Amino acid sequence: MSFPQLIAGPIVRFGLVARQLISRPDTIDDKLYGFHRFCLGLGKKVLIANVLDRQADFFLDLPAAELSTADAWFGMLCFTFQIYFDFAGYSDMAIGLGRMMGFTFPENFNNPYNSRSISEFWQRWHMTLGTWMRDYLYIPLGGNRVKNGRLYTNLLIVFVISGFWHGDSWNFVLWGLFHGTFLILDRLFLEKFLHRIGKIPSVLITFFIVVIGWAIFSIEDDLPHLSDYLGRMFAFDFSHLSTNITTEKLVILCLAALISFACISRLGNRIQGFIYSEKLNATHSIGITVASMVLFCVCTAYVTASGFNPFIYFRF
Amino acid sequence: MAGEKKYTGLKRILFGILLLGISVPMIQHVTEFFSVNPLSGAVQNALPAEFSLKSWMDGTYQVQSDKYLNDGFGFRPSFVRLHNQLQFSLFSIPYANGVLIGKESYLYESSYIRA
Repeated sequence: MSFPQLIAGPIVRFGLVARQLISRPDTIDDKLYGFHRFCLGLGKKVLIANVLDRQADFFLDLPAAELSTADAWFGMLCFTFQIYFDFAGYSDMAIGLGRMMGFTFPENFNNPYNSRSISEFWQRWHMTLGTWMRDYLYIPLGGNRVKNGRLYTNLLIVFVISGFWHGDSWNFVLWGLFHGTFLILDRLFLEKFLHRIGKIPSVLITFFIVVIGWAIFSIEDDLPHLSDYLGRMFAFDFSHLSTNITTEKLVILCLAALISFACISRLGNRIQGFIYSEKLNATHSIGITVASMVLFCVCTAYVTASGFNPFIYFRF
Repeated sequence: MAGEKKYTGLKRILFGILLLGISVPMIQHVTEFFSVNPLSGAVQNALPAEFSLKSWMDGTYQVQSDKYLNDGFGFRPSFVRLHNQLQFSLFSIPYANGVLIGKESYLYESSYIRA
């Protein structure tokens, strides 16, 4: 049993690991890189996602009438980055543990919040689920080789099922419909439009759509509250901002945004390439060892001082 | 790959250091080689679980062992202090029980303020 990725992903199909189950390399590079990757994931989960989790829960649990528009957006941004860092952190840890044992699991995230359209978002978010849905649902339904009307219906079916896969609650179905609709709009005109208006505006518009999607996703089994929460997000009531927002949460939210959007720039891309580089020369090896050890100690300290914080995707 | 293989010896040493590093709390837990100041405060740490077939089968042994290791693994007080110090230095959050931050970052115990 391949325990590292068993519960939440990346979704590994037998064909990908069949050979590795019989014979896989056992190199010191894989072990060192795997440990480093595990610590990066642990850091994402413990230092970012867990902090944002408390803040997101606070706002999501409040009666909508008590929320200002700023509160509602702050809470939803916290959830947006929490779910990303939680799940990407888990995937990093699974990939890292696998690598230490000689397995090469597929990547699951590729800077999804840098996407320029919802279609691109789904090529970057939970990529192994996207591939699974494509191969086992979208292509059997006819894939791209059907008339437009059928194609759009297929997209809706795939995304409604994808939403339903997350849980038997209407909000997940709505979330699937929401994304499916934007995929259809992308095919009709939206993707062309977004590519015409430039990189940063298109990333921001896509991010805005994704955040609205997360609002639908995050409020389970309570459609009236979901409707009220969405209403508060667009009420333009900036009368107050909750006193529950502390410097810690604000700093972590900004850090999460910085990391998520860094790769829009070339510098950010280069930094990410350096951090995740698998080509380990002497300096890089020493650097990642020190960084991993520090990160591991800090994460242990935070885990020690806090309660149980399960991964969000274990629920789905 | 040839370039990467150049530093195999160094990488083995580094990975050994990492393995040793993550094993240190467990070694300390077993040997209590270093003396660590306990945390102040009235906290009842969990006791070691007593093994029996019944406690194993009904899961109480596992739950109690989990609590015991969480409360008493090696260097736990140092990790809690590291967390509290980071929270205080980075975000001015006092995690120590009953402590408040006053003017110019002076720390006060709330019981003295109330007295």
